[in-house]
Amino acid sequence: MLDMSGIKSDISGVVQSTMVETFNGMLGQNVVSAVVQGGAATGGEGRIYTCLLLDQTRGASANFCFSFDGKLLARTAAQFYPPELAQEKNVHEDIACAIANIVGSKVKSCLNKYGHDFEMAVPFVAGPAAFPLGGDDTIHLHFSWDDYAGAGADGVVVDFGLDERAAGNC
Amino acid sequence: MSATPSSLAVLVIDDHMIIRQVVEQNLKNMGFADIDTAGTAAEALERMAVRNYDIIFIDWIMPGKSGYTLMQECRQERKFDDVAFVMVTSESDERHMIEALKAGATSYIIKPVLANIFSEKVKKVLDWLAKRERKSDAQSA
Repeated sequence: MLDMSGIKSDISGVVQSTMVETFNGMLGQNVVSAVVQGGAATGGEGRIYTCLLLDQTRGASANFCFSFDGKLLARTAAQFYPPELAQEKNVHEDIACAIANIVGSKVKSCLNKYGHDFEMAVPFVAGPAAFPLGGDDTIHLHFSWDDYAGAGADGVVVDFGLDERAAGNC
Repeated sequence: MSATPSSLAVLVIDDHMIIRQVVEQNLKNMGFADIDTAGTAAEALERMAVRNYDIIFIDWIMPGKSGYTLMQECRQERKFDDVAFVMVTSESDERHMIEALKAGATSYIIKPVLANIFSEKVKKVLDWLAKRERKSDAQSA
């Protein structure tokens, strides 16, 4: 069994820096990162869920569940697509999976530096019901949009706390 | 063929529409105009069957046939000898990079695609194409 609390602490910096680099450097946004417990439990409208499995040849696997607030994805989509397309769910799902793929790959590299031999599968979209919340081998990462960060910046909240709450919140 | 962006035909292969958009936007900013896109290896093969490309940007991991396998298969054919393959992937491990270059990638760009790095790498690809063109001209002279 993997020590998931140890892994969470190992990867939190990688997740946050990759998210900011991806949103700001690649997707033309202006975000900062923060860790806010409870961020995943609110604002579920339009939320997109993606899953990613990191598997080891020998040893335990790790499930990563990413959830993205619809508003965060809509703002990103608006940068690249006409208004009617920027609101479409499949466009948001595509962005969510692309981001999960990038973040997942960086996490994989980080973990492999600690002696693991993780391989990454292709991320896929799932519904909230499909999320193995609370599982011992699951890390849930939630990314929301908020304007709490102050003028000129959107906040990307990286939340590691959801799997400690009751299933169904997500 | 001349290795200036406006004269080159480019194919961008990635299963994620947003990545195709990002790469296309970066290419347009560099002066490229003739850009086709494909979301799968099968779609890419259809496009490559009807026209030639000078640069092919290709994602490593895609559902169905991977970009890595597609590139390996293309490199077996002489008609792709002068085509630059640029692997655009989230795989950041050094061993993947070496594997891709050994399999015939001309360059390797790690996602997230950042404009300044993308531009630097593509300029080197343009140099590679120019060298291939000079070599080809010398051989036919």
